[in-house]
Formats: sequence, C-alpha cells, structure tokens
Amino acid sequence: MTTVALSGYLLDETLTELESLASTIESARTSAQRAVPYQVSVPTLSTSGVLGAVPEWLREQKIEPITVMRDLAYLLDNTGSTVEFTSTGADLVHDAKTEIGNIYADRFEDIDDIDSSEDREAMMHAFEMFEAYADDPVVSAAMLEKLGPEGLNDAFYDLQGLISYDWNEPNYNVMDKQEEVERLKEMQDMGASVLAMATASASSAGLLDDDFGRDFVDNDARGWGVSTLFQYADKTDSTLGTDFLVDAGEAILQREREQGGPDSWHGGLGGPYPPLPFGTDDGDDAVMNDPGLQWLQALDSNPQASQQILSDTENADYLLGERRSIYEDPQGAAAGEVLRAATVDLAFDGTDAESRTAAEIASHVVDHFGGDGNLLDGADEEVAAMLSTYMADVDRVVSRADDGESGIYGDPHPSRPDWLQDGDVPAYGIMIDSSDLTGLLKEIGDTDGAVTVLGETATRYNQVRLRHGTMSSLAGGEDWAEQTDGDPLVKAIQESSAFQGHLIDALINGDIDNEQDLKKQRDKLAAMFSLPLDYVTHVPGVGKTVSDILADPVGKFIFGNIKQSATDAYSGDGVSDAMRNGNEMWGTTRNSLRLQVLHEVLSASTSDSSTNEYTQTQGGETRFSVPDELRDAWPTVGGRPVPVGELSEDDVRLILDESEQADGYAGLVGTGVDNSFASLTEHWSGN
Amino acid sequence: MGAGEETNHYKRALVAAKTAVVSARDGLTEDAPLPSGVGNTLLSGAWYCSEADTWFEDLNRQCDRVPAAFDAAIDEIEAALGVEPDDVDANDWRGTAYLTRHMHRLGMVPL
Repeated sequence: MTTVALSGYLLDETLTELESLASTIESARTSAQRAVPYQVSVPTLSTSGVLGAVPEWLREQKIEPITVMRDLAYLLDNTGSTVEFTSTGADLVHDAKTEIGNIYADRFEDIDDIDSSEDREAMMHAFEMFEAYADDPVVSAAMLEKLGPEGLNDAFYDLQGLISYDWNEPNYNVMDKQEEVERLKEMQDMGASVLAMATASASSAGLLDDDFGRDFVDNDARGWGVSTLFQYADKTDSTLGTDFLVDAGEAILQREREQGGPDSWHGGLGGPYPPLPFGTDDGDDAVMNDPGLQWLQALDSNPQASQQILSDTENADYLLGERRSIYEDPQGAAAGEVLRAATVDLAFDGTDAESRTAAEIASHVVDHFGGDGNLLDGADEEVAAMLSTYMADVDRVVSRADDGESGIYGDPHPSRPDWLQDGDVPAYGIMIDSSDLTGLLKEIGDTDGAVTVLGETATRYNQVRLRHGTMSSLAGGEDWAEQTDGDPLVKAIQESSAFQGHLIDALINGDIDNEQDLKKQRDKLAAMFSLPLDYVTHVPGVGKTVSDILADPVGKFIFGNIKQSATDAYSGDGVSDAMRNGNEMWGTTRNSLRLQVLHEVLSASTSDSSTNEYTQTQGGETRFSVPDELRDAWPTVGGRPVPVGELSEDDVRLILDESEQADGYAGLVGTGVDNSFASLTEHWSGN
Repeated sequence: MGAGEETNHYKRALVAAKTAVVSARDGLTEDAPLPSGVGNTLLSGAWYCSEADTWFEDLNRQCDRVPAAFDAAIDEIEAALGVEPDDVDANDWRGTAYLTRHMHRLGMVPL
C-alpha cells in the first residue's frame, strides 16, 4: 500500500506548467523549421519527429495521470489543500479512478439529502465534473459497483423526488420556487444522463457483474427507474453493453409474459400509475411508464444484442407481433428497429456468424408472420427493409422457383443469376416458401413506407438486371438471335417485368375490398414503384466499358440504401407525377419499367463510336436499332440520354408514344412489358 | 569571386538556419532546465509519492530528447554547409536565382 499526497490547487499549476512546456517546445521547433531551406532534410524538426512527439506526450500526461490526480484531490477536498489517499501500489491511476468512482457513488446516494439551492448547485457541479468521466469504464464501473443495481434505481427515483409535482415546487424552502424547479429539472437531466453514460461505458467494457442488468430490472417493481435509464441512454446516444441489454431485456420480457404484457408496468391492482414528470423534456421525449418500450429503443443501437434477443423465436414473435403498448404509435415500431439492427445492419457487414444469425432471424420472421402470426403495423417498414436485403431470394421465389420450405443457405444458391456475385448478396441467404412470402407481403402491403422500400429495391435490382442484359446482348459473346427468348436483353425484360408484376400483385392482393379501394391501391403502388427512377444515373457501370460493367459489383447499388430508405418518408417525385398526370391509370408502373429499359437501350446505342466503346454494331450485326424519332424524343447531354429523373412530363409522354410505334428492341420494350403484365391486368380488372 | 560567378546565397541561408536552430535550442534552457517549472510544482507538494518520482523521471527523459533533436538538426545543416562553395557560377540555382526565389517566398519581390 502506498500513501499518496495530493494538492488540487498545486496540481492545477502542474497542468499549467505542462501546457507551457509543450507550447514552448512546439514554437521553438516551428521557428527552427521555418529557418531551414527545404533542400535540407531535418527529420527531427518535423511534426512526426522527436520535437513533434514530445509536446504530444506532454499533453497526454495532462490527461493521465495529472488531471486524474487533480480531480481526485478536489473531490477529497474542494479547497485544493493537500489530501492523502491510499493506493494499492499496483496501478496508481487505476486506483485513483476507482476512488473517483466511489466518491461519485456517494454523491448519487446523497441526492435525497439536498435541501437548499446551495446543495443543488454543489450537486450540479459534481455532475458536470463527472460527465468527463462517464465515458471512462474504470470510473463508471467503480461507481456502479458501489451503487449496485438497487442504488442505481434509487438514484433515478431520488432525482425525481426532489420536486413536488402536486405543487410544482421544490421539496425544500427557497425564495424563488419556480426558478428552483427549473434548475432542478436541469439537474435531473444531468444526473440521468451521466448515469446512463456511465452504465453504457462500464457495460460495454464488460466490467459490470453478470446479474447487474437482471437485478436492476427486478429491483424496480414500477419499472420507472428502468425506463429512465434506457430513455437517457437513447437521448445521449450511449450504446449499452450487450450482456447488460440482453440480461435486462430478458428480465423485462419475463415480467411482461408473467404479468400480462406491457400494461403490467403501469397498471395493476392500484390502477394505472400516473407518469412521473422528469427533466426538461415533455411530450414524445418524456420518460414513459413503459420500460419494455424504452429498452427496445436503446437496444437497436446494439445490433449484436438485438440479434441475441430476436434469435429467441419466442421473443421475436412477442415483440414483433404481440406486444401492444399504449405508449407506442404505431405499435411495433421500436421492435421493427431492433429487427432492422439484427438483420439489415449485419447481413452484409457483420461477421460470418452474424450474417448467419441475421438470415436465421429473417427466415423465422418470413415463416412466422407470413404464416399464422400477425405482424404489428409499426414493424411493416422494417420487415420490408429486411425482405429487401434478401431481394435475390425474393426474386427467385416470386419469379422462378418456390423453395417450398424455410431455412437458410450459405453457399451460393444454385439458381442465383450470373449477374450477382459473392458480396453482391449477403453471405447467408434465406429459403422461402412462396405462400409465406405472399402472406408476409399482404401483411405489409397496406403500409406506404413498406411498399416504398420494397419498390425502390426491386426497381434498382431490375435496373442492374436490365443493364447486364443490355450489355451482354451488345457484347454478343454468343450468337444470339436478335429479339428471341435467348437474347439476354429479352430475357432481362421478361424477368424484370415478371418480378415487378408479381411483387405488386402480392402486395395488392390482401387489401382490396371494393372497386374504389382497388383504384386507390393500385395508384399508390404504381407511384411508389416509379420512385427510384431518379437513381438511374447511379447504376454501376455508367461511362465504363462493357467488360467493366459486367465485372462491376452491384450489391451496394441495389442494397446500399435500404436502411436509409426505411427511415425516409415518401415525399413524392417529379417523374412519377409526370407519368401519373400523363396517364391517370395503372400504367404508371408499367411505364416506369419501359422507361428503365429504353434508357438502357438508348445508352448503349446513341454514343459516338469514335469516343465511346458503345456502338450500334457488334460483330457486323446491328444490335440496337433505335428509330430516329425515339432517339430524338429523348434529350441528351454529351451524347448520352439524360437520366429518367430529368425528363419533363412532355418528354415522358412523347417517348412512350414513340416507343409504342417502334420496331426492334425499342418496340419489344412495349410488348414485352405489356405481355408480362397481362396476368396482372386481368387480376386488377376482375376478368 | 571570379568573373562569371555569383555569391552562393543558398550557403548564406544555411548559415542563417544554423544560427536560428542554435538560438531555438538555447532559448529553451536559457532560464532553467526544461521541466523545472513542472518540477517546482511537484516539489511544492502537488503530488507526492514514489509513482510521482517515477513519473518525473520519465518527464526528464522526454525533455532530454529535445536539445538532442535540435543538435541532430544542426548536424544535418552543417553537413549541407560543408559541401557548399562560397561562390557559384552565374545562373546557378544557389546564386541570385536562390535569393530572388527566397524573397519571392517572403512576398518581397515578384518572380
């Protein structure tokens, strides 16, 4: 054991001297370096040399050990006089931090002793100082270890209890009661924020006891302290550790299952608990009497913990399908975000094991909610985002082959299209029973945001397929007979239109009660499926050679924006407006695909052969013959057709009109798309 | 200086650089050894224990590297200086051309 003597006041001077020393060396180095002609190499004078490194080292020392010692000294004696503390001698800084954590635990335990403005000011000052250490796992763990799960809960209730909300005044005498209440609310925010941040740093470093999360929940019969911790973790963007989130979550879910769902937190024999006012926020940002909901909102920032929770199918079924909270509108939205974190966030970017778990969770969601389970409306968009992540599987099942069962697969699927490579799709895909998929699409088809996400991804997916088909046909590696079923472009047109048609068909099928609904629904779907046309310019391969394009990774293009799409509101778009105004009928959707194909064909056929590899003639055969009228109808910039998103309403009308009359590929676009939509038309028209 | 020769202004710049670096080095310890300000606060009782002594030794070692680094820079400059003649051929980059470019860098004359 070692006795350490410290003076806060003198350590302030040490900090000043250290900064002065660093600055002096820095300015001497700078003036010397400026005097030396650049032709001479003097590495020691550069910022990466010794004279750059020493000031950096000095500034690191300011943080540790000097500031740690200074802060401990002031916490032990706020006048700055000399104080002593005992260290184990093994690691002085660690011991000092542990001591700081212990002192802060004492401060939090003293909250209910506040009985004057001066006490309140002193506590706010302590919170301010502690904020600098809340990200430090050693200090935070020491504080939480001393407080324990029960003490952590008590701290929230003690902070709340400083104000008498019946009278809207402090629980102690003060001259200006209203002013004091406002200051106390600020103090509640500060205290709850540092507690949440400290819990996040200690739990993320794995420094809390194994049962800390569960005990924290089990100690709080009312659940309000639990709600407050998770609410402030969310507010301060603090990511709680996986073990803590999972253990606390399991305890919350167990309690809800045993005692009647989320209502058990704010109901019971004594009637509904009134919400407890806390902090400066009210409305949507106020602490809710729903620890399960607040927990879910904190959980989604930790994808690994989200996976652990949803890997238990009982949890997934309950959270996404059964948990109805009066505090959530639409119900299921928070669980949807957790699903997004567990699947969309890790399917591509996670480790092999995480990608596998993402697929397992997704497979179960399709199987359960496409079958007997009812999905909560709030989760629709995130389920659409999840399905979009596995769009290649959806395409396979919708357009070509029913897997007939659920499950996952790791090796490339035998029927994966040749234009999708490893890395373009998640490491693990999902097997889908088509009836489950149809059921799930019906579930989410009545939510605009869900249809938008699916529509956008499906259209991007088709865009890449069409580009590949166009370029493969142009490359003419095989002796394709122009405009026959063997032609890659013809095949791409047929597959794209079939996929789009079947997907819309499935989405629309579940929600049509009468003719009026039918029209409204198909107009809505058509508009949404035409949305992503603005993205045409961003298709991989624009401006590259044929071989570049065929080798281009497409995964990021197709799937890269799913998360963003799932969170963006649909706000309308000029092209869909133009097409809708021009037609006022379901043809909006059909026209969007036709414009996609025409853009690809024109891109490949209008370039000057002297400046670009794209030509009309390959191997002596004219492959892309486009009528002059159609070519003239599509505005160009630099010899290339402008993106679909830049076409005016008149351009769209004229182009579609000319394409109706065209021969060759341009004409095939119209008839090919129309034929593939025939069955859909019959369905919609009731024939 | 012979006919067709100019003063080696680059060499003069090196001499000035050496003076500047020596001055920067000496200025650091003009009043007291480098970490003395920090050392004084510790001696006054800011932080007293065996770990503080060890830390101050580390601090001294870091500070000892500083004049050595300036000395290394002076050696580099002297090495460059040693191979430079007093005069150079007319139109040599080290002659008037160097002076003009240097003054231009200082914003004193246009190129």
